[in-house]
Amino acid sequence: MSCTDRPESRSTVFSGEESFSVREARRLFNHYCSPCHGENGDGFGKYFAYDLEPRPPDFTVPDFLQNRGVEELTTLVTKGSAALGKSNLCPPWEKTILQEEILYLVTHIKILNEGISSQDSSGVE
Amino acid sequence: MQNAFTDERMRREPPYAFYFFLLIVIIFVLSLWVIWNETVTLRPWKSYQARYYELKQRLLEDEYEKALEDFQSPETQQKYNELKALVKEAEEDFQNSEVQEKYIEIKTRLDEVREMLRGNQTEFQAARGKALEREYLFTKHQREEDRVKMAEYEEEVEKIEERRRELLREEEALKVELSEYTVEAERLAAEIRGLEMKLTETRERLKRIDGIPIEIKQVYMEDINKADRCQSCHIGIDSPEEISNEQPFTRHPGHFIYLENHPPNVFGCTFCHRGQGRATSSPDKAHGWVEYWPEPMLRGNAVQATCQTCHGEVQHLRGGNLLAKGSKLVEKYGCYGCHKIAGYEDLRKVGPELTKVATKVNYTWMVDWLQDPKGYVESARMPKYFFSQEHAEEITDYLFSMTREDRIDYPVGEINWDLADRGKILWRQSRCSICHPANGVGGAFKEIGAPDLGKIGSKVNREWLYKWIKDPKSYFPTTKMPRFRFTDDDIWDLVEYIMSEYVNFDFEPEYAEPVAIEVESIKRGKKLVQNYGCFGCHNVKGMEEMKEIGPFLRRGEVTYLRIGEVDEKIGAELSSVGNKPLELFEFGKMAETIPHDRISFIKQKLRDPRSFRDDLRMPNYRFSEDEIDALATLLVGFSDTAVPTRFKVPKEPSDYKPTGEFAKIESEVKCLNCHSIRGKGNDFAPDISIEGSKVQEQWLHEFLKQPDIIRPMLRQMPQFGLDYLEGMIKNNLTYSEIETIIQYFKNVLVTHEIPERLPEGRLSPEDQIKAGRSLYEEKGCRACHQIGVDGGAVGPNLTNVGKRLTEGYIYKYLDDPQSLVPDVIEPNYEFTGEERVNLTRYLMTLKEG
Repeated sequence: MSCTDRPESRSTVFSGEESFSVREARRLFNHYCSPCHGENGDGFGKYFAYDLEPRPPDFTVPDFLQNRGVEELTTLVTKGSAALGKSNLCPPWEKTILQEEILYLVTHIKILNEGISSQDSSGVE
Repeated sequence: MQNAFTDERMRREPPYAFYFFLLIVIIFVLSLWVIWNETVTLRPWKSYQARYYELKQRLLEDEYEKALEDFQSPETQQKYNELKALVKEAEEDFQNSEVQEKYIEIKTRLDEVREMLRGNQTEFQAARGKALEREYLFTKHQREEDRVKMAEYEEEVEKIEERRRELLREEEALKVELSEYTVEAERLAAEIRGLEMKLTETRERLKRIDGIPIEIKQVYMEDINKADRCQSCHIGIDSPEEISNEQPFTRHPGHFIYLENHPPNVFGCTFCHRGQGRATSSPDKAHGWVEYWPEPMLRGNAVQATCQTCHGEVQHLRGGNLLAKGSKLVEKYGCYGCHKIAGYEDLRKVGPELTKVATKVNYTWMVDWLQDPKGYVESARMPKYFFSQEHAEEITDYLFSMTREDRIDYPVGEINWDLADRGKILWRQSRCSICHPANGVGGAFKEIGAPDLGKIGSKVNREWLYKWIKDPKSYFPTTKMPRFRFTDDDIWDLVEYIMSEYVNFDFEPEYAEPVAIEVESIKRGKKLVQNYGCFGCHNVKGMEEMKEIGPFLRRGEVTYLRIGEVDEKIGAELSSVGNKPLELFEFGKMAETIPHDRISFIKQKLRDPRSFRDDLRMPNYRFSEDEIDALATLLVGFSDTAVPTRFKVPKEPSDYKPTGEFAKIESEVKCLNCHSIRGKGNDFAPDISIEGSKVQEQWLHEFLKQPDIIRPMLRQMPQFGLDYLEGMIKNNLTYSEIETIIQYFKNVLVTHEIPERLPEGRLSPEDQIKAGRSLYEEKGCRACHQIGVDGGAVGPNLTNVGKRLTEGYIYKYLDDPQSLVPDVIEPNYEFTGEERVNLTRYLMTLKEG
């Protein structure tokens, strides 16, 4: 409201201050998903995931999200890829990751797909 | 009395009425302004709350519209009408005279039965009363007739009770019959309600909003007299759903981590965020962003700083990653060597021993190193002191003068390639590069802080290297380097190999050794060492316990006092830097360049410590911006705020220490460098707290002799003894040492939670194995585990798991992996007990060879 000098606010904009949900989503994705899906979501996990048959899909392809809505992705992560008739290689995560965290992960997949830099300093969830 | 004089005067005086009028108007306007200011401007929370409820109402109205739309959609309407028709039908059926008759009959009978029950109750009480009376009389007088009567009455009571039970049964049956008439109608009514539910709910919530008063919302903690009024403006912070994206109406980020564990109605907000909790007249005042408030509010990542006010353990907090990183950095760089920090008192000095450094390095290297450590190797932890060449020489002179032992200087010279080739094999098999990078490559285990060996041959001499590998602790007692069990020949091979490969081929010694050292130079060097406080990170003979008077008390020459006389360290005390008054920070030359607040000062100090004033002594660590963020977050949280004990979560002390023979082995091989046991150690390698219950003894024996590849690359266990090509085992982890380790594991590192044996299971063993195999394929385990060559390499290789793990461990692990290994990626598949038995039986058949 008022325009007084806000010293602290200037200095807490760190090198790329991101909202909590974006940071946490990235941390979760890198811990649980990146071994197979790769840190960019391109399907080249660092532990030789490209030997797998079928390979994890490439999230960065522009029309990856064309036919896949948020609900479908959430169900896929929660119940495993086998529950949606796909390969059985992505396990059901519902007992290992909290539901809110799964929502964060799905948002992160969208971010990876759009390739936007995760800069969001308005404190928005 | 009128007279010309007064008339004249009156005519000449100006009309004051106008001025009075003006003043009245001004006062009136001012009063209006005062009232407006008091009720509106200084109470912004009123407008925020009004807006919030407005937004919420709009949201609910939208929901209501949607619910109405859904309800009025053709399908729902059709269903609704169908149901209504059915209800009508049912009612009409019911009204049918026959049915009514029957109904009334049953109802009447039910009433009769109930009436009889009431009568029965009265009878029962009367009879019981009589029986009790007789019992009393009999007990008192012991007369035969009383006993007889008593028995009679008790029989009567029995009969009445029997009758009662009969009546109750009939009542039940009648009630059931009666309900049959209405059960269908009730079911239909419930369905109708279900359809209308969303509508009615939303309507209720809308109505409730109207009634919410606009008022200050305060959390008051009586015992510490703390009042937080943040929620008067931030109304939606704890709401179950997100109402809006605009501030201040947002919901708290990471609600399920932060607010679930710290509900604002109990904790308030300012414990974590700081700020001025009682202020309500403007956002800046409430956030403490005003001149004299000592604890301005923290935002974003920086809020993690205050976790440590209550939590003793900061390295494994959910939602506290930046804080954990800062804490690890303090341990890595050893800030506590020069700065006193509460909670980091008893940690070891991070730099190597300097007492006999003359036997280790050459003069040129030392002088160069002192002037610019990162010039030697990029990953050097030692900071830059900006010594001039002359000062560097003086310090080197002093350090070299500390020991009488001679350095036997072999110039690198001729390489004996036979030895070097053998040494190369030894190097590979011992897996030195797991800890030691070489020219930036390798060194997967970063936290251990092992030096980069890329140019070590130009730094040290063969003799020293031999002695070091043979027994590191004789040179540096608190080193982390384990003692490998090489023979002397092995070690010379290794030394030769290192000298042949890990050398700076451009190195040219500037000083002709041995260098002539003057006594004056030594004295000056000693002063420099004392002045700059090298003893904070390194052990320097004669200065082990040295502490210096803090900068405030310094006058000209430096004075030194021993421990016990004064308790200051060379750097400023950091234990409460987080709420040290801003006036005590000396911004000096940077006052105009950086914002005038605590965090900016700390960050600038870390970036360029000497920028504030000319005679500052802190060296430059060349931190990256990320590291500065992490450290600043940690430091700004160091404060001495009083916190009620009920909030504190003290660190669980890990007082685990290896005991007995195992302790001797551990102190040489240093298992806890990589592994953790009961909270002590590192997490580069698996936790072995329950290894005795987890693995099979035979496998462990083989593994300790020659560690095999279990997990993905880059995390292999080094070999501490060695099986040469010629097949001769020399000075290994001897058999007795291996036995000691195994005995220790079996007796100490066990847990009762892991069963000895699997439960029976329904199928025969062969069928169980088959079921287990198909379960393995069905669940897609090969995405992360390898059997043979098939599969991914995220989790351990399972080719030999039948020989490695115990069945009890696998069985327990499959139930809840995260309970045995926190943060493990293995998903919890919610297997049934049966499935676990089958899968375990299958896995136990996987054996190599």
